[in-house]
Amino acid sequence: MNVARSPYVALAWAFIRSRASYRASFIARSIALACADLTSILLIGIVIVRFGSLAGWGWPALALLYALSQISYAVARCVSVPLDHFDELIVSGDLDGVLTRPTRPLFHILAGGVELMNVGRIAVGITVLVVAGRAAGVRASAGNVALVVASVAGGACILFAMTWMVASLSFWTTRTGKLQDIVQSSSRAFAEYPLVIYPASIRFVLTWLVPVALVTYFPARRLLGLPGGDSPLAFAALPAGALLLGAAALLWRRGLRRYQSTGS
Amino acid sequence: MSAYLTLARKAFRRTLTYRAAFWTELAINLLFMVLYVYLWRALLGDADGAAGYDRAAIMSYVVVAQTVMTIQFTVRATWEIERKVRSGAIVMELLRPIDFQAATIATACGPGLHTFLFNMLPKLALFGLAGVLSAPPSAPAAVLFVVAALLGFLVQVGLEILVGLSAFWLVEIRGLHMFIAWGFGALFSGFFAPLEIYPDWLASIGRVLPFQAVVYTPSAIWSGRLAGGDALAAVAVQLAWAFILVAAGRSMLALARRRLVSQGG
Repeated sequence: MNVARSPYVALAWAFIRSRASYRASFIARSIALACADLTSILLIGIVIVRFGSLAGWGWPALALLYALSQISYAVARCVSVPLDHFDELIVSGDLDGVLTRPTRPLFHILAGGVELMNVGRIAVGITVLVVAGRAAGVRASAGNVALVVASVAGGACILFAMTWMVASLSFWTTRTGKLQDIVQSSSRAFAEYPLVIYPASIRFVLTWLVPVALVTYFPARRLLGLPGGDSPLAFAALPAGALLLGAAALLWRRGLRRYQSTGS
Repeated sequence: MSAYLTLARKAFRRTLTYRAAFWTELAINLLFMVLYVYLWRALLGDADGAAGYDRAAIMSYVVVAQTVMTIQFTVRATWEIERKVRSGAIVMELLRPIDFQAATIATACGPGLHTFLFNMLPKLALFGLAGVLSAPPSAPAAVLFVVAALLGFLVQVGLEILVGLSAFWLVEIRGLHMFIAWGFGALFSGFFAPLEIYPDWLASIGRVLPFQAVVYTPSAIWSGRLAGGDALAAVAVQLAWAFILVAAGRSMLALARRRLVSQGG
């Protein structure tokens, strides 16, 4: 199939153009989002100036964690926003309209909300990544660049898959918008700090269940050449992302098959 | 007066019906509080304290700050005003024989009280029982904390009203809200770290802004870092901010009234 001509791209492009017609608003919000995201790294910077380090992690190292988390999150948010309120499609019955279209339902829903505003956030993440990487003396070797790209891609898949899974739960519980808030805001925050500061139970959750530590902590340890940096978990983000995407797809399909309209 | 009480009571009842929102808020709060407790334990390491806080005081600060800041999520005055301006319903609001600003503050008291009773108190009790939060150092400090928390609430609502009213001039205020609430406000409110921890130059910027009144002042009083004359001075600053913001809101509303054109229909 010619991707450029696919209905998804056409729909997404139409949405982007409609958004871009409010240009001042679009630019203002992109800048505001990016600035608001910078707050958390500034606050980490402030406490590090005072304390020197967080469990042995100094300034550039923490900024690296932040950057990996930020870029993955922003990439996922470019496409995942429409799923935040997927439950409303079920409750209102508007999902019926989507199901009758000659495109895949998921693509149709996603095309209705490509948020290019997140490009500003990606730019913030990449800037911090480059600055922090240089300050920490991380070599820009092919291996390191590949590790960063794979981690960020895996991270975006993991975050997207989690949003997708929670959205799929709407087929059973109807209301999930709030759960989305919990999962998204906390997983992102927990990923911004080195795993060592948490007790074993939280470390387990962040490595195996909501595996955001695979996106930030393990790759960063390897990039920085820290003890334990040779752990194979440094390469686990992409496989984990693929696995979670698969699980989300299964859940989604089961939900769709089970779906009965709420009627008019 | 009774009209405002009724508004507050109705708003409180309305909040009771949004149960999912309540539990979500609480779950997110608790997750973040746990995160920050571990974060600060790791930051402190073996140190006895920092910037005039001993270990217990800084943990109390973190818990109280995370608790006090909850009103920033549950009071939604900005969005209520924005929605009314966008839909035009603001015209009816302004026609009513009650003061719009006072009505907005009264309405905010509903979710404010709900948050205090069912979200803040249980969290303080929970972290108190867990031994992370210590009691305020003295009875006067406890009383002053309550005063500071109430004034902080008023400052927060005052700020939200200003941002909400800006919808009269700006078509789209989400960017402005994000910048003020999560950019600038978050940087200087002291929700993450007390202002004493900040480098001096940054702290002095924070001290001339209103955001510290919402989170920093009450939390620093509870933890005992602000005591005696310093605490009273900090509360006086809060009072001044509350006054300034309410006055600014009134003038902004007067200007907005002149701008307002209703299409009728």
